[in-house]
Amino acid sequence: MKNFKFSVCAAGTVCASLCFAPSAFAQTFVDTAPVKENGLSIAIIMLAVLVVCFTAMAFIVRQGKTGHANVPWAILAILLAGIALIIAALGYNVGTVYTKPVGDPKDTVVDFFNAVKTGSYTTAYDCLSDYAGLGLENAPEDEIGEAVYEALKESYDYTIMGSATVSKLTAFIPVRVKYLDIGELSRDIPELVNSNIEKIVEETPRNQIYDADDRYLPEVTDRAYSQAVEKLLDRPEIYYATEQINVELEYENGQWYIVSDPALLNAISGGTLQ
Amino acid sequence: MSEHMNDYNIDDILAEFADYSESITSFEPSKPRTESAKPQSPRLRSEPRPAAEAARPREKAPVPPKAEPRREREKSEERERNAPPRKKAEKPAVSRRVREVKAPREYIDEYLEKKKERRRTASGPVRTIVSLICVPVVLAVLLWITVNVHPDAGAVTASSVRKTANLVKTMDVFLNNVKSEALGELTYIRKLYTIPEEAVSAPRPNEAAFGVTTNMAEVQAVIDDAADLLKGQTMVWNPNLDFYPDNNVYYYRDATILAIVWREKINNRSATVAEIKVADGSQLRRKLSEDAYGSSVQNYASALADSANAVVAMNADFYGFRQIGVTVYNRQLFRFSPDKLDNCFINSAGDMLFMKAGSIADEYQMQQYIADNDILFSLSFGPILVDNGVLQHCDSYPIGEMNLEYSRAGLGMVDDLHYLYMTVNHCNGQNPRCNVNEFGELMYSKGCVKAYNLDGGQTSEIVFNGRPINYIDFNAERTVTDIIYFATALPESEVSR
Repeated sequence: MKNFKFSVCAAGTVCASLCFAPSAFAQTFVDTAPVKENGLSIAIIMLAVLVVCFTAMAFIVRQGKTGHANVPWAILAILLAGIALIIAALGYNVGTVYTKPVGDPKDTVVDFFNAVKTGSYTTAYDCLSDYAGLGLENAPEDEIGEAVYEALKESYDYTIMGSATVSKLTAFIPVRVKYLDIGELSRDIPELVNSNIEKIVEETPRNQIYDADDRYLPEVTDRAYSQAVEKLLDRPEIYYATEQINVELEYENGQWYIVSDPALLNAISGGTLQ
Repeated sequence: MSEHMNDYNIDDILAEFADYSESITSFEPSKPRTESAKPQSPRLRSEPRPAAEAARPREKAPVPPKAEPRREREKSEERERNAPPRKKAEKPAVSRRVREVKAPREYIDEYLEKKKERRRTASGPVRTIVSLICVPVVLAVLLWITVNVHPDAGAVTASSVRKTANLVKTMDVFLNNVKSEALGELTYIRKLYTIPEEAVSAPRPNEAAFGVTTNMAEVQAVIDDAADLLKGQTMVWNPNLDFYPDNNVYYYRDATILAIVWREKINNRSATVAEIKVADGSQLRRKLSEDAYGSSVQNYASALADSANAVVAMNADFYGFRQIGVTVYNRQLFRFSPDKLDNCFINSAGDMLFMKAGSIADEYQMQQYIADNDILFSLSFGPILVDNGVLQHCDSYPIGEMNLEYSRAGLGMVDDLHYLYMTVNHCNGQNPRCNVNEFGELMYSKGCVKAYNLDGGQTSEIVFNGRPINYIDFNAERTVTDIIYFATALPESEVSR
C-alpha cells in the first residue's frame, strides 16, 4: 500500500512534467522559431530542478531504509521527471534542434510576385510574415498619381536567380526585381515642365497665362506638369530599374512566409521609399 | 508514568512483603548479661501512685526470675557452647522482579521513543488520504495541460503583431514633393511630409524653432508666419486672454507644425492650454513605455516625450493602471473591454472618433471597426466631453472621480488637424480645480468641436520641449505607461531649408 501511494504520486509528477515537455519539443522541432530566453534564468531553473530532484531522491532513499518506498521505481520516476523538466526549460533556450520544413520556399516567392503583378493584393499580403497590408489596393490622390501608379504596376516583373538556401527555419532566394523607378523619372520632370511652360506661353493668350500679380495661373503650371509626366510615361522602359534582392523567408505554422525588407518594399513602391 | 507503574507485578510485591514479614516474626532478641543490672524494685507502698494509675488496678509486680545456682548455671553455659551453630531460617524460593532504578534522562528517552512508535503506527491513514488527494489533482492538471497548452498558446505581444504600411500614400507624398520642386520658381506648392506609422520616434525638432516670450506681438508674428499651415483656420490663442501674471507663452513653428502653449485663468480656474496645428495626421502619435503594449515599465511623461522627439506632449489614458477599456495600438487590438468606458479612436487622418461605453458587442465588430475606419490607436478614459460641437453631460462614470474637484486633462479638436490640450490644476493652491462636467465646459468654451477627458490628478501634465509646463500636483511628475504627442514631420535634412 505504501509503495502504491508513492508510486502513484511519482507517476503523476512524471506525467505532468512530460506534458510540459511536448510544448517545448514542438517549439524546438517543428514550427516557430522559439523565443530565446535569458541564459541566466535557464541556468537558475535547471539548478532548481536538480536540487529538487536530489532532495527527493534522498528522501526516497531514507524512506526505503524504513521500508516505506520502493526505492528503484521511485528514483526512476524522479529521474524521468527531472529530465523532462530540464528538457522543457532548455527547449526555449536551445532553439531549433531539428527541423524538417514542408514545402518549397520558392513557391511562396512565386505566389507573392505573381499576386503583386496581377493585383491580387490579399494573396500577396498572405505571403508576408511581418506586414498585414501594404496599401497597394488604395488609389492615388490625383490623376497624375494614378497614371504613374498604373505605369508602375505594368512594370513589375521578377526572375528567380537561383535555388533556395534553407537553414533550419529560414531560407534565402535571390530574386531580380524589375520596376519603374519613379525617382529617376522625376529627375527629368523640371526640365520638361520648363519647356512646356515656354510652349504654353507662346501658344496661349497672356490673360490665360498670368494672374493680376503676373504670376502663372495654377492651371498653367498644372498643365505643364501633367504634360511633362505624360510624355515621360510614353516611354517608361527608359526608367525601368532592376535590383537583385536576397528575399528572406521564414517557416511558420507549416508554411513559408516572406520577411519583407526595405529593398523589397522600395522596389514595390517604385523607389519612392528612399 | 502510568506505564512505569504497569511494570510492577502485584503478586511479586505481596510475596516480597510476606518474605519481609516472615523475617520479622523469627527474630529473637538476645538476653541482657549485665550483672550490675539490678532488679527493678517494686514501688514502695508508701509512695503515692500517680493519678493516671490510681484508677487502674494495681498490677502485680513482675516476679524476677530466680537466680540459678552457680553449678546449674555453668552447666547451661557449657551446653550452649557445645551446641551446633543455629542455622539461619531458609527463605522460600520465590521469583521477584527487581525494579531497576534508572536515571531521569532514561525515563524521558523511553517515553519519547514510545511516542514516536505511536506516531508511526497512526500516520498510515493520513498518508493514504494525502495520496488520494494528490491523484485527482495530478489528473486534473494533466487534463488542463492537454486542453490548454500547445505551441501557439500565448498572449499577443507587439513583436508578434503584423504591421501595415501604405505605399500608395508614400508615393503620393513623393509625387507632390516632386511637383513642388519642379514648379518651385513658377508657383508655390507646399511640400508634404509624413511620419511613417512604424516609427517609434519622430524626426528631431529644430531647436532654433522653439521660443518663449511675454511679448504678444512676437507670438502673433509666429502665428502669421504659419498662415500657410493654418490655411485660414482661426487660432484659439489671442492676445486678449486672461493670462497669468508670469505670462510666458511658449511656441514652436516649422513647415509642418505650429504649437503655442500658455497659462490663463478661465472661470477662476488655472488652465494650461496647448494649441497645435499640424500638416498631416501622422503627426498626432501615441507612445507606450518601451514601445510595447503591456510593458511593466513606467516612465515620466517628460522622458517619454523626449525619447519620442515630441514638440508638445500630454499624458494619455494610463492604460497600464486598469484592466478595462479598449486599447488599440499600431492598428492592433490589444484589449477589448468596452462596457464601462467611452473610447476615443484616432485614425490616419488625425480625426477623433468617439465610441460610447458598451456600444459595440464583440471583438469581431471591433476589429472590423478598426479596419473600416483606418484606426491607428485609441484612448480609453473618458467620458466624452464635447461631440460634434455639442457639449455632453455625464451624471456618473466608473473612473476619474468625476464629481470631485480634481486636476483634469483633456484632448480637444478645434478644426481639421487643429487640436487643443488643456489641463486644470492648482496654481500655488490658490485656485479651485473642477469636476469633469465643469472641465467639459471649459473645453467647449475654447471652441472645441470634439473633446475627450483623459487621466487627471497628478497624471495630468503638458510637456513642451521636454519640460512640464502646467502646475503638476505635488509639484512632481508621476510615472506613466503612455503619452500622446505632436511631432514635426520635417526631416532633419530639410531643417536648414
